[in-house]
Amino acid sequence: MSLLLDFAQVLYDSPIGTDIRESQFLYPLIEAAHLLGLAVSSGLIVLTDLRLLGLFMKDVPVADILHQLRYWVIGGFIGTFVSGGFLFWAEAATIIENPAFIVKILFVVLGCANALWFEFRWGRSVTQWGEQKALPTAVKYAGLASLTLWTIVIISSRFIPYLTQNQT
Amino acid sequence: MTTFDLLHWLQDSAIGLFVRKSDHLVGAAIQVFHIVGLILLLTVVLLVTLRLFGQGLRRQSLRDITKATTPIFWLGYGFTVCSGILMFVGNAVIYAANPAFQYKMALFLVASLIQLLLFAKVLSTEILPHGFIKSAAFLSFTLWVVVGLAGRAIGFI
Repeated sequence: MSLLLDFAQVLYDSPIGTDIRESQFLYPLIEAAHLLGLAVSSGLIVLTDLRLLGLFMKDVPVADILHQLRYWVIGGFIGTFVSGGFLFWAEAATIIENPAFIVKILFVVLGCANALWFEFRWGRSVTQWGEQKALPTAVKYAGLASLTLWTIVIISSRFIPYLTQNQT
Repeated sequence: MTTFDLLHWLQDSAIGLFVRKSDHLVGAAIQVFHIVGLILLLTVVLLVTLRLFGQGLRRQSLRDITKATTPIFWLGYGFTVCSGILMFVGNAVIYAANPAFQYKMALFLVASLIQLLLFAKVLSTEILPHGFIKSAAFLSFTLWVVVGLAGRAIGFI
């Protein structure tokens, strides 16, 4: 654990971390990119989840939604991760002990695990089950889990600045 | 009654006092709604814009996409507007004087008008030339992003 804290401190004190933190424009702009990436990745995932739950574009086969949105979702995620990485770089030493941030990272991991499980267990065979009127129950649960996990990620993210301890 | 009086009256109203005097976690909860709303709204505009440019859900018709996403757009819009009003009423005097807030509101009105005039009616019936609709959709997406940026800037000015 102290190794992790030391590493966070090194990042925090590094020129790039300090530059982002102290720049008047850089930090808000990276935050904006983070939000935009979120609208692309999480937003499209929410729509996909709603489809799995039968609440959005019910008449469109699931495969159509998954395949056509895939690269946009992945692209959005890369944007969110990269911008999030830079934000972490700038705030590492303080944010690493922030309870909201810890919860957030935990749920990011769970969200990714759920997405990967879905991809390998169901996503690959979507053409076999995706056109049925009633989708397999496990698929609906995966959609509900995804919706819940990413919502918690967004909620805990918004609480980060409210639970920040000032660096002493 | 001047605008200044009105702003003071707003923020000293029961709702204004509730927002301002509450625990800061209440403020955070209001902001969660603001951001979730913005994400929903941006995603819908993105999906429609992508479709117009032949990307994203290109096997579905524009009409089907707008029909399925319009309720989600207004849900997101409702979230941002309601939470935004609560935040504004809590600190009306400070917000009204903030240049980023003023720009944001002006852009928000333009973006809302475009949404109402173009997306709600014309887009689904496809009367206008495709090129015009494409540029309007692109402009609309950009405007909503800038509204978000201006909103983020409020706290930094």
